[in-house]
Parts: sequence; structure tokens; C-alpha cells
Amino acid sequence: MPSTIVSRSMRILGLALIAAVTWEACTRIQDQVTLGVPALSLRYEAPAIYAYDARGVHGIPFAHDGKFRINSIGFRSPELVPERETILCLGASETFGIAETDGKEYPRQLERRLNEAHPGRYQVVNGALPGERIEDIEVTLARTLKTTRPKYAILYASPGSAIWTAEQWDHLHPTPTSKDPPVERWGRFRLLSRLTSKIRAALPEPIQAWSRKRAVVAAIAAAHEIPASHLPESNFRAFSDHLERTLAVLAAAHVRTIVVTHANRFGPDGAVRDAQLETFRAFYPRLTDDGLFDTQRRFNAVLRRAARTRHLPVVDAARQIAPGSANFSDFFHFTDRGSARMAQLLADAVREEDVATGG
Amino acid sequence: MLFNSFAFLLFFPTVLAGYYMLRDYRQQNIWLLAASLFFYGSWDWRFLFLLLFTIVVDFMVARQIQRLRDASGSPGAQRLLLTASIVANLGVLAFFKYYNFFENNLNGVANWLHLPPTLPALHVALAIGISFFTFQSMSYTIDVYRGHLRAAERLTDFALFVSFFPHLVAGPIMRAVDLLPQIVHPRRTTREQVEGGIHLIVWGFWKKMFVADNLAPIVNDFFSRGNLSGFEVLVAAYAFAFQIYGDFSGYTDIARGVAKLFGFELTLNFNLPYLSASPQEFWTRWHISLSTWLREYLYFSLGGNRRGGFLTYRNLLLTMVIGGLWHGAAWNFVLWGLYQGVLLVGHRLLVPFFARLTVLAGTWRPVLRVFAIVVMFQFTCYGWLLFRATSLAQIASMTHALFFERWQIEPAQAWPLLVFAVPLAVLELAAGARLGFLQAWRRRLPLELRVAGYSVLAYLSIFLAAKPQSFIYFKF
Repeated sequence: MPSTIVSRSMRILGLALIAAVTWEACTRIQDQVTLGVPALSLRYEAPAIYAYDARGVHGIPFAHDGKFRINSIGFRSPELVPERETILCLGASETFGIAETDGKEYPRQLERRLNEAHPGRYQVVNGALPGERIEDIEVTLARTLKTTRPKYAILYASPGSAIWTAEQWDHLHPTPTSKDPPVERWGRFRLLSRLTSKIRAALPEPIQAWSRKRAVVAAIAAAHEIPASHLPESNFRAFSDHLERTLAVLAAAHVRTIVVTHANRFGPDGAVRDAQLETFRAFYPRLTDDGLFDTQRRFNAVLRRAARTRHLPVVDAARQIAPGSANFSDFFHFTDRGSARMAQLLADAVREEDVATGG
Repeated sequence: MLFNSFAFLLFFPTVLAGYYMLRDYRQQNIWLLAASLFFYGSWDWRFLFLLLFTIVVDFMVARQIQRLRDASGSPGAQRLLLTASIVANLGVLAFFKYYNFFENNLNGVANWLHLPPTLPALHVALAIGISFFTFQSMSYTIDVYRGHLRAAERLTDFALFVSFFPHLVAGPIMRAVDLLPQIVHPRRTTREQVEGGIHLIVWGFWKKMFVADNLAPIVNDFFSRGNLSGFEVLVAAYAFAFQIYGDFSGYTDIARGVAKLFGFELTLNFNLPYLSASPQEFWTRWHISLSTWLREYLYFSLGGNRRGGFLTYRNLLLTMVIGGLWHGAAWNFVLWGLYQGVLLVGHRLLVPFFARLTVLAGTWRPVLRVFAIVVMFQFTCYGWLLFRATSLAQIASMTHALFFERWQIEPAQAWPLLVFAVPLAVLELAAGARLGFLQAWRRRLPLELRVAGYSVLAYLSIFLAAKPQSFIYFKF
């Protein structure tokens, strides 16, 4: 009898092992197909599509990781066509479009909208990369302008530029190099981390809420800071200085800039408050909920002031894109629908500028 | 509580463990009944009263009919009782499913005639699965009246027959003659049933989560856009054909698989419907439990084909229109039902021609059948377009684009069909070509290989599934 139990248990264990090995193989095939990560690679190393080095943040020509594809000059855009009028979109992950379906990020939707009336007249260059701050834009701007020669620039800066000053950011997030590829937490067995995140996502909401709160506490502890409801004025002064210099470079290159205020899922006054607030706080442990709304107001005030001073058009996305989950997939990033709304606002602004300049 | 939810992941093993801890089948029945009521109440506990009302009314009416029959009582009284049961069931259905529809349409007509509204706006909430349990309960009373079955002795047995959770909200619509005997007698779950059950559950989840849920956003996108090209309409209709098949047959497979693990056998609801060569054949392969119900309790009651000619065609059309309306309170479902009725009538009229054609085809008969299957699939897909459309205006615009506009073929639009629909079609075709693919997989392959195969399907269902969608047929 005991031998039967042992042999049965061994058989069940064996079958469980077959299932686990099959799933690991499936994971690796999926990585190979969608991300280009070699199935037999022992380290999980997603191909980098952009680099962060002495030249600043820049896309790696011809890189692709399944969803995102970089063109020959380092942008997530089709190849440039010389005779078309170029619109350059500057910003961070919201502009790069990390959450939307491929092709639905707002620069692509803007291009389609503009070309509806004038097929082939415009091309929109997505000049943004995830994590780009205003000073990163400033560093690479001259080179970007030289390669793209835009008629208009659209600046949709991320509030991350004001939440952390450059020094604080570098201290917390040391610049990664190609020698330090991201390694999966679970080392060589890729399945486990995927399974863990799947189980987490399937857990009932109260458990997920508790888990998010724990993540916020952990992030605050790791940041070694007390969350603030009001960031120091120096952060906004620094952002304002970088913004001024960026706008000056654009003006010097005779590029008309459209400044866009920053929209988020919660609305300018925090009308929508849902679980994404905790996700936001785990991402930006420096801020309390009120700190987010205060930062957003002051950040947008800096943008509006800069545009007013330079007589630049402003698209007030903060007020014109409805808050909530229909337009935002997380706290800042758009859904396909949110991107479509953004593209609509920008297309209207570009057309108005065309009329105003007789273009 | 959807089958593809975390709650069900906890619920099902708990119910299964409790079930096998009880030795007596009557205790098991009570346990399953409690679990089923909890399952239904998890959507909205208020609708439990509706379910219980249906159960109690039909149980009592059937008992009374049985008593009269045993005492050779008057057939008139039996008929009166049956009528009361039908009125009660259809009354519940009419109010909870169709009130808003009637109210909208009647008030719309009144408004058009500049008259005051005829019905108050009550905004009645739709009870999940109401059409399924009402039809099932009604069929029981009718079968008892017709003498096909003796009325159940215990209320709990009958209540479990109506509310058994695997099939409660989206079928298959079980006939009492098939399910009640399984409830009132001791059951023994065989190894074959366990294996078959697991097979059906994994297979069903793959169809639902990988095929249907991944096609859902693509279909939604097509049907939410205006001005589709003819090619896009075609892709949308094909994609929906596979979405609804994956969704509904996936649900049925899971339901049948779950029931098997409790030792119950639920009826087959789908038998490779897209391999039908005629509308008549389609309805013997698609949603078999509904088409059987409509045939047994509606078409035959209307006279079926006994009076020939015109009356047969009228009965067919009426049955299919009511079948269409059964799906939902909207004009597009009525239109879909009418379309299916017209197809059946048209096919019936052309039967002599098809018979002649088959004789002429001689050895080319298989080719003729393949051609007929392809043509029938196009008719089916146009029907799905009527079914899925959100308004009559959309139907008109899509039909116009499909038949009267110049097509612009963009192969990129069709890639989701390649990724999600083709694997399903290939596997179904393999099964349909009598290769016994699935049976061979289950019975002949070594267990280790089968586990690997199921693991691949489970991986696709879990890790490559889109955002979970509710089952389409829940709202019917």
C-alpha cells in the first residue's frame, strides 16, 4: 500500500514537472516571438530600444522589442519623407505611447487626422522616449532638430521633470549602461515571475489594495523621504529654467512650439480617486495624494506662464481630456481612446496655427 | 461569478471537495443546490427570488398535473394548470426581459402619433440567464403534461434540475427526461468522466479566453466604427463568427466538463456547426439544446410540417423569429430570427433542386458538399452581422458596404483571423474530417504527452488571453 502511494505521488510529481517544463518552454517561445529574446538564453534580457549615455537619452536605430520599433534615426516613427511638413512631438512615455495599441499612440493618430484632409502633407515624428525629463530633451534637442527639421514642435512634458530634480533623480536611478542589462528577479526560470504577476492581478480587489498599500510603504521607505503634499519651489524653478532654455532652442530654429498642459487620470482637482492613486504613489513616493494634485497645478502653471511669455499656443489637455479609466490606462498614460482625444486637440491646434501663419 | 474569474477558481474546488466528502447522493444534491443558489445569487441576490418563484410554480403545477393524471382526472383541468404555468413563466420572461423593449417601442409609436406614453419607464434590470432557466422549467411541466415524464417527488431534486450551476446561466437547456433521472438516482463518477471533464474544461477555457476574448476587442472596434469598407465588414463578420462560437461553445464545454466532474452528463450543444452544408443542418449543429426545444415545444405545437405547404413555412418563420427574440429584446435579433427562418424556408423550397444536383454530381459529391459548406458559412456570417449589429442603420450601412461598394483589400486587417480563428478552425476541421483528432488525443496518446498538450492550451488561455470578457450568452 505505501509503495502504491509513493509511486502514485511520484507519477503526479512527474506530470506536474512536465506541465511546468512545458509552460517554461512556452514562455521562452513567447519571448522569442514577441520580444526577440533568444529562447535558449539563460538571462532574461529584453532588447534595449533606447540608451541612456553621455549623448543623453536616445533611441537605438532599427531596434525593436516586439511592440516598439525604432526607425533609422532613433525615433518610434516611420522613416522620414523629405518633402513632407514635419511635426515633432517631444515628451516622455505618455508621448512615446507605452500603453496604447501599436499605432494608436497620439503622434500616429495625429498624423492620420491631419492627413485626412491633405493626404501625405504631414509627418509626425515621435521624438519622445520613456523616462525623458525636460533636461534630457534639452540635451538632445539640437541634434533632433537637425535631423528632423520640423515646422512645429509639440511639447508634452512629464511632471516627473518637476517631482525630482536632476540630482535627486540621478541619485535614485543611476544611469543604466549596456553592461547592466535588466535581469529577471527569478533568475533563470522565467515562468515564475510571470505566474506571480498573473496571480496578483487575479486576486480579489481588497487583497490587491492591501498589496498596493504595502508597495507604497516600501517605496517610501526606499526613497528615504517623508512624502510631501507641497514640493519645494526650487523644483519648479529648475523645471522652469530648463523649459525656458528648451523653448529658446526651438525658437532659434524657427520652430513654432505648441505647449501642452499635462493631463492625468484623476483630473486637475482630483475628481476621480481610484486604485491608480496608490500605483502613482508607489511610483512617486515623494508625494502624497494632495502632493500630486498640487504638483500638477503648479507644473501646468509653469507651462502656461512660459507659453504666455513667448506668445505660444497652449493646448489645455489637463482640462480638456476627461479624467478616468476610459482615457487613461494608469495614472498618466493614455488608452487608445485618450490618445485619440489628445490627437484631436492637437490637430485642431495645428490647423489653427496653419491658418494663423497662412501655411 | 464568471467561469473565468478568480471567484470561480475558489468556488469550484470548494464545491467539488464538499461534494465528494458527502457519501449520500441526496446530501450531495442538497449541497449542489445550495452551491447553485449561491452561484446565481453572487450576481444579484434579488434575482434568486425570481428563480425560486419559477421553481416553486412549476414544481407545484407539475405535481398537480401528475395527481390529476394518476386519478384519471379531467384533461381540461390539466390543460388549465399547464396554461397557468406557461403564463407564469412567460409573464416573468416578458416582464424581466422584454418590458424595456416594449416600453421603448410602444412609447416611441405613441410619441410619433403625438399621444402620451402608454407604459411607464421602469428600467427593469435583466436577470442573468433568465431565458435559459425559464425555458428549461417550462419544458419540464410540458413533458409531465404530455406524459413523457413523471413529476419529481422532491422539490430539492427539481430545484437542482433547474438551478444546477454549470448550465444555469447559459445552458445547455436540459430536458427533464435527460437530467432529472441523473439527480434522483445515485451517481458514480468514472475515471472516463474525470478525464473527459478535465479535457472539456481546458478545451473550453482555450476557446473562450484565447480565441473569443482576443477576438472581442477587434470585433468591438469594427462594430463601433462608422464607414467600414466591404472587406472590413467581411473580416468583422468572420471574426464575430469565431468569437461567438469560441465564446458560447467554450462556455458549454466548461459547463459539460464541470458537470462531468460531479458525475453528471449534460447534453451536447455544438457539433461543428460551421461544417453545415444547409440551414437545416446548421440548426442540428448550433445551440442544439435551443433548436431542439424550439422544435419540440414550439414548432410541433404550431403544427410542424403536418399540414404541409404554406403552414409549414409559416411555422418555420414564426419559430425562428421567436427564437431570434429569445436571444434578446432588440430588433436586430428579430431580424436575425427572420433571416434564419427565410433561409430554412428557401432551403426547403429548393430541396428537390439540391437532390437533383446531388445525383448529377455523382462522384463529385464530396466537392459539392465542400462548396455547400463554404456557401452556407457565408450565409451564417451574414446572419452574425445582423446578430451583432447595434442598430438597423448599422445593418443597412454594413450591407451596403458589403454588396454595393468597391472593395479595398487590406490583408493587415485580417491577421487576427489568422492568429485566433484559424487554429480553432483547423482543430475543428480535423475533428470534423473524422480524424478523431480530439478523441485520439484523449484516448491514444500517452498521458505525459496529453499533459504537455493541455499545458500548452492552458498557457495560451492564461498568459495570452485578452482582458476577460463576460460570456455573450449570459445576457440572454
